[in-house]
Amino acid sequence: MSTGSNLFAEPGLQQITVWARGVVMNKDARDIVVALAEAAAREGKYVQAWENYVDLPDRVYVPVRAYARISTDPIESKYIYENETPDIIILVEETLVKGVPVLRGLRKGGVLVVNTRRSPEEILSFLGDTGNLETLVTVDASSLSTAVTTLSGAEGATDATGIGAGIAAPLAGAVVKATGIVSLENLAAVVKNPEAMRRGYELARVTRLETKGAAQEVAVSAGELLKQLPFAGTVPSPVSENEGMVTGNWRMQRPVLDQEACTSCDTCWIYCPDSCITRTDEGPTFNLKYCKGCGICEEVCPSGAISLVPELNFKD
Amino acid sequence: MGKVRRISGCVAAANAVKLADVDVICSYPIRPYTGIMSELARMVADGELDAEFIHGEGEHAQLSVVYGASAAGARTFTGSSGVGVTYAFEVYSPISGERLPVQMAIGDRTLDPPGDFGSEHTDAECCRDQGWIQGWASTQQEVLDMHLIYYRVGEDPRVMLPQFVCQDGYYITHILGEVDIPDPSQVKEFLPPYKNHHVLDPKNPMIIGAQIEPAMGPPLQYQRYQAMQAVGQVLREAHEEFARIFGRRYDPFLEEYLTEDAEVVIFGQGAHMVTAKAVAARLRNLGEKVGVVRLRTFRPFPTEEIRRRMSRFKAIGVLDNSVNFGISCNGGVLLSELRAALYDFGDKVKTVGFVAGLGGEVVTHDEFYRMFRKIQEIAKTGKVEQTAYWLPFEL
Amino acid sequence: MLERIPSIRKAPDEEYYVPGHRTCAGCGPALAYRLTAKAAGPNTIFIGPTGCMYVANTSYGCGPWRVPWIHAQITNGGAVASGIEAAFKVLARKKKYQGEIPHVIVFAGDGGAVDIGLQALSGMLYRGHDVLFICYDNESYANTGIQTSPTTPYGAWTTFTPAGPAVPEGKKLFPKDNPKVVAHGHPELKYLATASIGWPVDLMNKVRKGLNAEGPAYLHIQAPCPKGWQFPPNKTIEMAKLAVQTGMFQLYEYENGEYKLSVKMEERKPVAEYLKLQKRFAHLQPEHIEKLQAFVDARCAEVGITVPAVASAR
Ligand SMILES: Cc1ncc(C[n+]2csc(CCOP(=O)(O)OP(=O)(O)O)c2C)c(N)n1
Ligand code: SF4
Ligand code: SF4
Ligand code: SF4
Ligand SMILES: [Mg+2]
Repeated sequence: MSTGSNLFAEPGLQQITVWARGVVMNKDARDIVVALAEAAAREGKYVQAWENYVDLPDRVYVPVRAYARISTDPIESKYIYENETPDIIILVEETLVKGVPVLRGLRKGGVLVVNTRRSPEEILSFLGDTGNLETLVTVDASSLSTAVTTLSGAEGATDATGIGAGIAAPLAGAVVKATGIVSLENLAAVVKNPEAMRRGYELARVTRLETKGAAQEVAVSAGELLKQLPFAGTVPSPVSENEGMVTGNWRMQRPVLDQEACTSCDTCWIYCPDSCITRTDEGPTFNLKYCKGCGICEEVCPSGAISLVPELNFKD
Repeated sequence: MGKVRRISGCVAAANAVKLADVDVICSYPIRPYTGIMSELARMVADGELDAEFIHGEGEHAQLSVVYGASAAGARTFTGSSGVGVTYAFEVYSPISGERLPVQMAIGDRTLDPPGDFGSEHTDAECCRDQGWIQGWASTQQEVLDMHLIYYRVGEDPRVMLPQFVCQDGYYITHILGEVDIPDPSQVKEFLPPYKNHHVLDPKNPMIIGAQIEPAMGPPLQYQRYQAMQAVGQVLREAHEEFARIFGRRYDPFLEEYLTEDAEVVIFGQGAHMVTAKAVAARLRNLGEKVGVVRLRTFRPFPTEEIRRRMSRFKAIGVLDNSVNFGISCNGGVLLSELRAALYDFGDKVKTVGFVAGLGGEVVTHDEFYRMFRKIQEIAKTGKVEQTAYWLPFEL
Repeated sequence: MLERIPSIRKAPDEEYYVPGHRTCAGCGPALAYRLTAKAAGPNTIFIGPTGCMYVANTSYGCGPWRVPWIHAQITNGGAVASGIEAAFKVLARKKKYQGEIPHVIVFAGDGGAVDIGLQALSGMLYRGHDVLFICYDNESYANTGIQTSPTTPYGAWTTFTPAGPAVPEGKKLFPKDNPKVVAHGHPELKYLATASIGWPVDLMNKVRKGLNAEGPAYLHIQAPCPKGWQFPPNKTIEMAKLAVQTGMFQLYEYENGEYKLSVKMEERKPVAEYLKLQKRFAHLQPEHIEKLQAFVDARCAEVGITVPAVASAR
């Protein structure tokens, strides 16, 4: 007895989803949604801004989401706690284009804003099928400001550090350029660094794409989940890797070995918290399906044989 | 047939635990259930029972110890009273959630205040919705039998849920009653060895109790709900088997006494219902059509049985031996739940609540007499002027 | 008997804490888990009280252990372990369990060991259960978003001890010393030590000693937490080493009433060198640092670390 989705449609509603990296950037993710919502409120819109509860507690480098809703009418989906069909998606960090399903649910004519120095073509090459995406915006926000790392404001508390001092401001500026969802003046009034915001607006590069359309994903029904559910949720232990939590897409930088320099001392191996290093006669090999790019191996190597290289330098 | 002895409810429970060949016991002292553990400690010391007898550092630890032991494949037993029952509260849901059929004896006691050792069902009833099977015995014999039956039901693969076997503090725990202690061979036939589905074993490693995403919440909770739903049928089968092997037959849900042509009944659970029955019998001598229905299984609440069998009465008085401040209708849990179960028969059958025996005070013959009179009055007039009465102040 | 591991090179290859867990990049407690599991081997059961090492490791509906693992409440790791240990003992005795008796290890956070879980830990040690209780000490209630716990150092900023004009030092209290609480009141205790993820071989050998001991053992592992302490995730090992080198954390075994130091220290670095790398201490004023240095000096003296704190040349 399900009603058709049209019964609950909210045509005046725009959904904004921001993706970032846990701990080190989740404050900036939160700032973007708060800044856009506050600016829209100044324009008499109905607004909502919040963090994805399932992504919390956030962990260093884990992909996390923050959301805003901006509407011409009262928001009736207030407690539908995820943006299931975003109109605008913002990536606070570029490697999120690799291996993270950031475009999931994107509505027709959707906009993607990416903080990157790379070209739109390069970014597109990682995205694969862009489905409903119509506008790609690239902006080197990190050159305009630095991310603010703070625990203040987490768990629904007040953020004592203010809104939009870091890379949130230029990214929000880029959003305005591509969408005009709020006015630049109203946004400037709510962020702490309006200068960076304006520069973000100016530097943002907008690329229009041809939308290809996306297949509707069908969620697994609760009834199906019930059928699959093992007794009391108890599951067998993994055999060699835990396929239920693949963490390779947390990685912004990839460890690379200089075999010449390696003395096979095993130091990197013993210190990897994620059991991602196998020691071989030729030195360590890295399990890139799970490596989070924490950089410990590089840091502890006594011979300087490991270096960390930006993940987007690799196509694989 | 075993041998008949005059023993307390505490000793009856301990004998059941011994007959069930329990592996791990965890104790902590609190009146009035303490005697169960002293008796078990004696049995272990005298070599009558081979079990690990662990002195928990509190009731929270008691429940935690049996949680671990049951997950490791041991048949377990623990118990408590009053504030001890509530101190352990955190651990009830993990035990039922991991589907560990541990057994706990409750010797009912009031919560504090009043600083008092007396019986009230408040302690166990507080834990009523945590996924534990719960029932109240009314005699020492029934205590022993219920412990055995509940192990069998809780450990049934269709159920796998923990159990409370409750007895009124002092009334049952401390007063001696005649108990036919069965032969171990009979118990062996009745109660198969405990088999855990997902036992902790390095040869077959499992992950028990992982975090979930919200989407897994409905199915996981529904699975536990289904287990509770399965209890009714398993209880029926177990009581049949019990009657066959031990020759004692109980109705698994409701004991009916003088109800055949009864117009009004008192409904309640536990020791005081013995007095209620005596009063009903005297009233029958006067030609009055009164009876008693004693609830034996409180969780799962036997809604269907009640609807089928109790909608025929004109009026029902419900005795709650517990405090439930601010509850609907001002009575207790039993009143609310009975009223809810019979809601669809609202015009036909009237209900009224009585709160009595608090702090362990006796519920006297005269009080039951007054309750019957009130119910009869309601049956006659069809009017419920007050949904519940606190005795002795309001009736 | 688990044998002594002589070096990193000779440490066993097998992992029992495998890739695939939602712990922070650079998580110190995750490394402690991995090393513990490696040292303990396949015949082990883990009990995981609520905390990061439960929540992050079992997100969602799965987990990274190749050995049995069971959740415990944050309150009751010691009691759950007691039940498991007792069960195996009696089931083996009654011939209901065939097989080697497994090692039983509780892996609890500082909240689950030193604060809300202390009662269960103490009960377990007192009763003499053959269990290794490990506290991975990340010096806060981390999973709930970094709140002060009894092991949070003096002067640390947490979301419950923020520094502000009225409370300039953030946390005002000095930390509880749980190894000492444990050491002096539990006659059945068979082994007690502290360890650090900065000294992995030492850590693994202490796990093995604790498991070889016939009876309860307690191992307190300091494990830096990049999220809570606010340092970059590649600095986890450096932070662990500095904690020991400054004397903020002392490495020892406690045997027959004596502290046996695990690393030889030629010199001790001033705590300021440790504090300045962590943003949780960024607000501290010189007088606070002095106060902390004095506290650390006294704690070091207590366990026999006598070298004074001297600023390094660099
Ligand atoms: C009885 C109870 N109170 C509070 C909590 C909330 N809680 C969940 S994790 C956690 C932090 C645990 O801290 P710790 O033991 O130090 O482990 P960490 O998270 O730091 O790894 C708390 C307080 C809980 N789960 N249970
Ligand atoms: S960066 Fe190095 S230490 Fe960190 S997870 Fe990857 S392999 Fe392991
Ligand atoms: S730490 Fe460096 S030298 Fe040693 S094995 Fe690793 S890469 Fe080679
Ligand atoms: S918060 Fe700290 S302990 Fe928790 S997962 Fe992150 S680094 Fe590990
Ligand atoms: Mg902690």
